[in-house]
Amino acid sequence: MSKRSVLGTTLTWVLAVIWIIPLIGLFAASLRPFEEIVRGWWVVADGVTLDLTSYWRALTFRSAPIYHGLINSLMITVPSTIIPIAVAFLAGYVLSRYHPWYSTAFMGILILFIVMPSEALIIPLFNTFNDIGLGGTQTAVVLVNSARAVPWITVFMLNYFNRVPRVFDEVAIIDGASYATILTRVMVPLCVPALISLAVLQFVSAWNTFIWPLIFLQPTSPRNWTAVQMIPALRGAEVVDWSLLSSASILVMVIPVIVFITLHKYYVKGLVAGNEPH
Amino acid sequence: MTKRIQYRCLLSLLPAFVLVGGVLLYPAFSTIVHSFFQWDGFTREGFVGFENYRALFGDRGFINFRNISKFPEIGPPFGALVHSLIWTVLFVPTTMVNGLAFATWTRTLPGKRVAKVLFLLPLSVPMVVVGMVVYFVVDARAGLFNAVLRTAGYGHLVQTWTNNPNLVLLILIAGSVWIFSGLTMLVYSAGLETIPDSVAEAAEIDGATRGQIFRHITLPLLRTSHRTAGILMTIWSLKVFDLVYSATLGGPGQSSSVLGILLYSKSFYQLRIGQGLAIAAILTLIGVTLSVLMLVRSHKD
Repeated sequence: MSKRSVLGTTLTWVLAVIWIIPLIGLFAASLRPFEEIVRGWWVVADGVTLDLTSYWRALTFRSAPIYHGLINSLMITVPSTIIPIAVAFLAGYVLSRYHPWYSTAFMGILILFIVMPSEALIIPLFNTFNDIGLGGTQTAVVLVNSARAVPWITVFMLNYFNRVPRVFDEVAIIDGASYATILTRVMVPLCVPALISLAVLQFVSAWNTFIWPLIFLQPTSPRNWTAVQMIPALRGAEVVDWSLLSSASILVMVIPVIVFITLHKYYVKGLVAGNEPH
Repeated sequence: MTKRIQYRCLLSLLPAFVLVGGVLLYPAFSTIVHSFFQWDGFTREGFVGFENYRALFGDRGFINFRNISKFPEIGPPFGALVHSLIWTVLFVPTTMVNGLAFATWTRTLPGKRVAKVLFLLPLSVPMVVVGMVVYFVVDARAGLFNAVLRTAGYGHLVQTWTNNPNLVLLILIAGSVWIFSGLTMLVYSAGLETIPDSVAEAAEIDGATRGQIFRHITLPLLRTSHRTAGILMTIWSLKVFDLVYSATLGGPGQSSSVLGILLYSKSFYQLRIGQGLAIAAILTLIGVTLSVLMLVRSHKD
């Protein structure tokens, strides 16, 4: 099957480029004034005007200031990435090495929550966080983002630790290393590639989350919203300002897309390993 | 196990127990239990048995028996339950076929890394932005899709397609296929890696055509990939929310409303918490069923 026709190669490449035309269009629209976008972002015959004022408008828009959104998203996404990975790292290690008697039951619960749509939990979570005084806070969003990620990251780490030979633990124990030392000095360095994969996947996923900021932060001032959350608010009821909306969309997606493109090797590895049947 | 190690295990698992127990398990129980109670806004009243479920099945937003029974003459809305079902039925096979095709075509492609990144790129874009992109592509004035129609001589069809109640659901499903075909491509690429070239070569020597090799050797050997892709896509089709929220909010006239959208609007707009909880409980049960199926199947292998 080594032969490959020129036609097949060309068609596949054409398809790959067609696949991202909608994103190219969004980017092109963000650079042009509204009058030119409604004639078609691809039209160049009538002249092309570079107009970046829409980016400034999006960043400072009163009912949805993307500038604040980007900062809020970062403040939420960074802990939402670190917390579940740290928690699942510990859990995965213990489950892999010691198999406590409750580990089968716990694994069952983890699998359940990998599969279950967490959107089903909006009502009790909204109520509970209000009751304990965390309603309308970014802390609530961080906690839910973290909890949702713990099941799949734990299973991921468990599978990973199962492939790390126990000799590493045993040698460290003979050398007199404590439990904490084994974890931080032996296991963390061995897991660096896995940890990077997890961090990339979880960062992109937490940044892009919409429903939890919507539940917890929508009733508060737009200055507390995440960047992603602001996009629907920028859409007019009747006339859509594509110039504003396309610039805002580019601003909101630029960070996850850059993370994905620069670290795509880790992203892909993580996705493939994470979706292996356990 | 010594006492010390037992303590160590418990202490190490404690953060995971707290997060999973407090933020996932307890709310899941609470959802199911409280779906049997009457609610006044966010205040719980008495136990009512299956009353919320009965009300839900009598609600046209959930399942619209009238429109379904007159299907060819009358179009959507058919209700969120039916829309979600249509979503799953169309989305799962389409993403699987696309993923398998992309994985096969890019396998020996010169520059395959870059091509794969292009197919995967939509996956890293926030779903809310994807909703806007879908809307942007089919917009009457600014949309590329309508420009293609005009050029092809179908100018009379030009419209903002997401405002068309008969087609809006199909367009949003197409948008979700656009995002997730990259993910199924990865699943199938990993599956294809596990099939040694020698298998196909041996068949070729025996006189099998490319089509025969694909149908009788490659496809059956990809069994695990089919299962993984199928389960992943089914799960995702149940979760759909952001995309619809940002593109259409479930409209026009609930024509693109899905379970996630109805759950949100029941809970936070109509304040019919009981019915919201009933939808959530149904989603939870589907999740439990799927995960049991998953465990049983992976146990068999």
